[in-house]
Amino acid sequence: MAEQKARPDSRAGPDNAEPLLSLKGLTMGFRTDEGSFIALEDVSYEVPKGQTVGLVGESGCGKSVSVMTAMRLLPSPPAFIRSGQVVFDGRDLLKLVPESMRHIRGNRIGMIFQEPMTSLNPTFSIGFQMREVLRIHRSLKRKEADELCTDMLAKTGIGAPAQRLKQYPHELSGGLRQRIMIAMALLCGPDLLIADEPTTALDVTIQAQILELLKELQQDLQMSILMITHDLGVVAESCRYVYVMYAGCVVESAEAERIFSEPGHPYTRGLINSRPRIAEKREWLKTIPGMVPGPDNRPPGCNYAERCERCTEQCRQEQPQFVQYDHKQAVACWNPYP
Amino acid sequence: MFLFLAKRFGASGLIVIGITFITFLLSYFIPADPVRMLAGRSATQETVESIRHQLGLDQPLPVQYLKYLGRLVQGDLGRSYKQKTQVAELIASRMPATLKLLVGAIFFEVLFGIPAGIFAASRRGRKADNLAMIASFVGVSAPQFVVGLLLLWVFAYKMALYPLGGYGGLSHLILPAVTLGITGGGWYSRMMRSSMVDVLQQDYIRTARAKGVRESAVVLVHGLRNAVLPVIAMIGMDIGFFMSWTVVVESVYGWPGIGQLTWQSIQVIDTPVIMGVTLVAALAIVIGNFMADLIMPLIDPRLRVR
Ligand SMILES: Nc1ncnc2c1ncn2[C@@H]1O[C@H](COP(=O)(O)OP(=O)(O)OP(=O)(O)O)[C@@H](O)[C@H]1O
Ligand SMILES: [Mg+2]
Repeated sequence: MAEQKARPDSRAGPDNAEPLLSLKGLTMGFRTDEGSFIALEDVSYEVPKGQTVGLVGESGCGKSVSVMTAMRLLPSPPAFIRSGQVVFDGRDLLKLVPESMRHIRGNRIGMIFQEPMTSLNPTFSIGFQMREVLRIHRSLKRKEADELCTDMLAKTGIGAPAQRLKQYPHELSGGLRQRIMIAMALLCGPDLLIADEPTTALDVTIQAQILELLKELQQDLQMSILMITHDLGVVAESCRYVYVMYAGCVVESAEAERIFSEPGHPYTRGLINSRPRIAEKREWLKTIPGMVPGPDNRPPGCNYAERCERCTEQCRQEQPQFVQYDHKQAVACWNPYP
Repeated sequence: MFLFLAKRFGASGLIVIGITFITFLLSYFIPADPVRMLAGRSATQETVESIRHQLGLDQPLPVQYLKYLGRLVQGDLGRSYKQKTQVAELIASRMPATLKLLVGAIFFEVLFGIPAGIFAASRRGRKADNLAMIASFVGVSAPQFVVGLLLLWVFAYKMALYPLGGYGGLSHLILPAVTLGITGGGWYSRMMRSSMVDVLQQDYIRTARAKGVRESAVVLVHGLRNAVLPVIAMIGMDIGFFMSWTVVVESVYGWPGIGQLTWQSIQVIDTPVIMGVTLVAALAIVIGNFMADLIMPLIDPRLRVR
């Protein structure tokens, strides 16, 4: 906050492709009883048409908040937006009237959440909850709607889909519930799917299946995916381009391959090094020492300075500029790895 | 489902037996000698003893209890000391008035309380929320006789819209029912609000919004179905409560319900009537809860198993 940064201009983006969704300089925060704090600072990223873009970072860095803000799902108060735009298909979502926003949610942008166990309404049948989407956005007869729902459930690899429609969430496992969430999000054939850590709460084999499923569906349906995760493995699997967030800021953006081969920001490097690799012996992960500064005690300089192995005096005093390496990579760091 | 019903029914049966035991004991804790009440002050020791024997009060407690149970099974609640009629008849004669008032009161409680609670929860922390909660606080803390007299004065006396008390049809029922609705509705709005506030923070509410569900439907469809359960339980409790505790409103409006009967019999320590009314009220609570238990699984499928 010490000085104005020119981050949006120097943003590297997924090349040539026209962005479907772009966050531009989004700064927002929360007002709580103890005072207000900034949760996202000048966050910019874009998702091009038909591609999968990853958003990674440790817990609490603002990944979910950034998409919730974009979808206007955060109640205000406590959330407030200070500046920025969320442009989707040429329109700023933050300026839409609620009624227009409603036509985008679930219709042009589908969303799946971190918590499959609690994201479905326990008192309504799966069928009701799925048909509801179609009732809102499409005018279909009940029978046609049911057919579409069973088709979509089948596509997500759910057996006996017609029976599932009659079931209730508590009768299903977490993996199944997440598949149903995916099916529900895709019912209207959205242009963009926001997948907020879709596999975090699931066990490993189910994780792999869900990721594979998303990949297939993307190719089938020609949609864009914004994949939020704190797992770089997921990124390596499925993303073309990646944004790395740290303590409410985007600190690096690069093509997925580049992120792994030549990470520029020390934080990105730290993330990559702390990944468990099965090939290596059971030497425990190298974790990044220190803690993420809370939203209420961010330093004047770089947020990562305290934990950084390359930290200098400048890092403590001044916020780093976003530096564009080439169109494939940009880093916000005073001393990036070459 | 059948097993569930059977279990519930069995549990209710046990509770009822427990209650009969308590009402039976009640007659020993009430500080009045029923024999003296019957025989009068000037009766000789002999008369007293013979009445005691007639009533079976000289037999051991367990025997007395079993006899009491035996009479209950036949619908015999004993005979009022004062009015010299069967307690069962006395209660039955008051039952229509009490049931009318009960239905009316719950209707208005729900009518006032639930919308206010939903409204407040969906505008949590804003002015409308504060206003609704102040209103509910006033409703909860206002004494029933004040509200009753006020309504009576405004709507019956000044505006002459309703009769000035007494028992009768709908026009007689409305003011006493509204009085109970105002004073009880405050509890409903609080319960509804806190339950709804809790539900509106759940993940599935966010999912509903992300699907493009209209905000009104988010609250009234997705929210309400989850938030209404504690309110249903509360209605179940109220069925029992209103069976015996509407005495203030009954007095203000001259409504001949069980509440007044209770009050009168407490004043003259008419033990059989007190026992009978207590038993009926307790039974009503059991029935009310039983009904709530039956309805809740219809709303929440998770309650259908077990
Ligand atoms: N409703 C809220 N009120 C106040 N603060 C909030 C609210 N929601 C999120 N925050 C704060 O915003 C910050 C970012 O949270 P966010 O949920 O976006 O993290 P995340 O990157 O998604 O982490 P995770 O991997 O755990 O999901 C956190 O510090 C969190 O405490
Ligand atoms: Mg999150």
